[in-house]
Amino acid sequence: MELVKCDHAAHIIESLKYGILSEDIDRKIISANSEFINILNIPLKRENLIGLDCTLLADQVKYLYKNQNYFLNFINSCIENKKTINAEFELTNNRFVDITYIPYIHENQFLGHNWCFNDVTEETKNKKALKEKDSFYKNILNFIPADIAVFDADHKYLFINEYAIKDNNLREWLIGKTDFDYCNYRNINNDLAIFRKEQFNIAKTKKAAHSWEDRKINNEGETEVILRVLNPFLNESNNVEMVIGYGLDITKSKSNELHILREATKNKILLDNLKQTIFELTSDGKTISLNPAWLKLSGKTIKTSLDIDFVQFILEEEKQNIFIEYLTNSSKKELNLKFTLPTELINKVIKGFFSKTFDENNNVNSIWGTLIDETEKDNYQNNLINLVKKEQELNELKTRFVHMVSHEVRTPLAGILSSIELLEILNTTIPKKLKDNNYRHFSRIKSQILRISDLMNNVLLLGKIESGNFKANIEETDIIDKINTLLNENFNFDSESKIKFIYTGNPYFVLLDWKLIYHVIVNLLSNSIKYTKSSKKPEIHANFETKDFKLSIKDYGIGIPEKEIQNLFNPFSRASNVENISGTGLGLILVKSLVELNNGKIDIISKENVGSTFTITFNNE
Amino acid sequence: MLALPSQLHLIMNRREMKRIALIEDNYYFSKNLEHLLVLNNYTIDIYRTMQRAEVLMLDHKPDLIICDINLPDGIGNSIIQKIRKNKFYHFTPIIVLTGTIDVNINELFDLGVSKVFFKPTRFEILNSAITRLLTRKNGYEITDFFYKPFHKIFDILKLK
Repeated sequence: MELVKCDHAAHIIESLKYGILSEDIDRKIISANSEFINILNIPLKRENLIGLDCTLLADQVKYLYKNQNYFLNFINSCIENKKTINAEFELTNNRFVDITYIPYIHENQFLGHNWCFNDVTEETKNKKALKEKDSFYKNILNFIPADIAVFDADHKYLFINEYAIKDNNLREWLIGKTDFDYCNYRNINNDLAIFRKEQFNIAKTKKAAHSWEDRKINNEGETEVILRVLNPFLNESNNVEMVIGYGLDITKSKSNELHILREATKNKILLDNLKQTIFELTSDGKTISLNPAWLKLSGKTIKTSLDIDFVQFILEEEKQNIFIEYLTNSSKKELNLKFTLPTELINKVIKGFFSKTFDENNNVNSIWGTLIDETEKDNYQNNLINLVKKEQELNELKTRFVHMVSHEVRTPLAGILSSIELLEILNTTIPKKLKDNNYRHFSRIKSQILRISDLMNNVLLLGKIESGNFKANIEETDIIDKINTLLNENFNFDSESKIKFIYTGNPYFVLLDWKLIYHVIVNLLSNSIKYTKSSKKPEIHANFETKDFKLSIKDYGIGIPEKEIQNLFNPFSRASNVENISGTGLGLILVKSLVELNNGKIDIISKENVGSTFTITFNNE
Repeated sequence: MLALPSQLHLIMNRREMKRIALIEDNYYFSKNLEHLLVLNNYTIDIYRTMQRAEVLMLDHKPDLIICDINLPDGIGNSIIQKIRKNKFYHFTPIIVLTGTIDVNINELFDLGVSKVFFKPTRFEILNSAITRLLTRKNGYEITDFFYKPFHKIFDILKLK
């Protein structure tokens, strides 16, 4: 070996970034460069390595390598095969070395072993990182729940993700192929490929995204809708370099769309068929929509009524002002307004309801509302009011009439009566025979006058009670005192035959309206006297019991036939045995009404030719 | 005879002939009633309208007033109110004689009416009420207007 060449070579070997280890045939180290020591972190100097037996060394250094067996196997196979070969190893210090074995063969003679160590840590790391990134993006693309494919400018597959094709082999096979190849492979017709190619060309020509909806029926017979998009990727010279295609399953949103559409249609049908007018206005009161009921209500077509200020449909100025105020006042959300809608035929009374809808910023979006035709209702109301007024007027008229008649009849009666009374007095001066005759006539006239008066009183009183205006003024009454006074004032003038008043039990004040009961007792007593032929006077019995108070007027008169007792309280009814005793037939019905007004009840017990007892019962609870 | 004070003179007259004011617009009835009352020793003044009554009653103060409440120039209770307003008639008993049944009797009594009769009323009933009211009034008057000594004078003079 020439010295110069050796030095040159040694220098090169020393300067190389490779660790170089040379061994002779016996595996003894001839030389090792510094880099070798650096890479393997050997704590020895170069000079000290020379002469060491690598066979032994291998064993000693194997701990440097993560996979010791692998390393040893490699060394051994290299030694055996004596062929240039390299392999990569990971060191325990996390560095990577690439070891190349170069056998020193010169002129077909094996002269030694050479090992070339290359620190490939960085490269390995980069490779690894790259690989990781690669698989990272691949994973993303594979896991996105959408078909993703990348095509080159000729519509050949550059990439297709796992979601689109699950079969890994098919996926790999597809790279570099077209849809036509796919169709051939799958033995299906080319229609799909032709269609896709068309879309691809559109996208390529547009140089912009292009989309369409793919519809297909899945295994369960349901329609699936996929939105397919082709997005061309342009390079610097604005040519299509790649096209990215993806498909989104929009079945759900489509069905939602359909659902919404159906609902909207339903609503529209509803609105169209409603009898009530429903409308929508802009935030400043212009009509934007009206349902068909509007035509019936206003006589105007929807077309002519759109984009019109709603104020124009309000007749009254003050109502217009109220509406305008509602529009402009932001604090008013709803409005109920009764107004008149002028139409061709008649003006309609409308009850309108308005409601503002707001957007996210609380500004008025639109106003919707309803209109109800209240013209009829209004008319009915007015009619009703008029009828009531008329009835009130009639009532007033009736009352005034009654008053007038009452007064106009009574005053002449009073005149007649007083004349008769004067005649009676003047009568004293004429001869007795004439006197008796005259008295007879005077009595008759007087009784007839009083009869007319009584009848009038009864009729008027009955009328008052029937009209429901009459109310009893019920108070606690000292009935004993009252009855005594009554008897003294009206009946017991003749001190010989008096009407007896007998009471039993512990007296208490009875709740009744004496003015009415006075009338009742007077009436009943008058009846008793009238219908008694004998001289036996009637009697009043009063029973003060704890539960109730009973007042009985008992007479010993002609009595009432049993069958007719109940009928007696009917107007104008008189029993068949009254013969020529006069009576109007109204007294008892008035008595009954008055008793009932006092919360009492009246009963009759009677026997013909024996007598009658009328009993009034007042509850004491 | 002793010189009697003028008041005593009037009282003497009054005790003999009571004065009744009849406020009624119906001619025939009022005439009849006047006749009947005169036969019973009363002096009657008839007033056909409220206005007339208000003015003329002052000159002839009545001991009792019989009043209809349906006069041409007055309606119902306002007539009674007018009478009662006047202090002159504060103690004068009022009998209301009316043809209308729709009178509020309670209101009338509250206004100071002593008795309410509805036309037609028999005269004897009316008369007994008048007598009763005037007797009572008599009693009041004596104690109101006179000192006790005058009672003795009346007894001495044997005046009825």
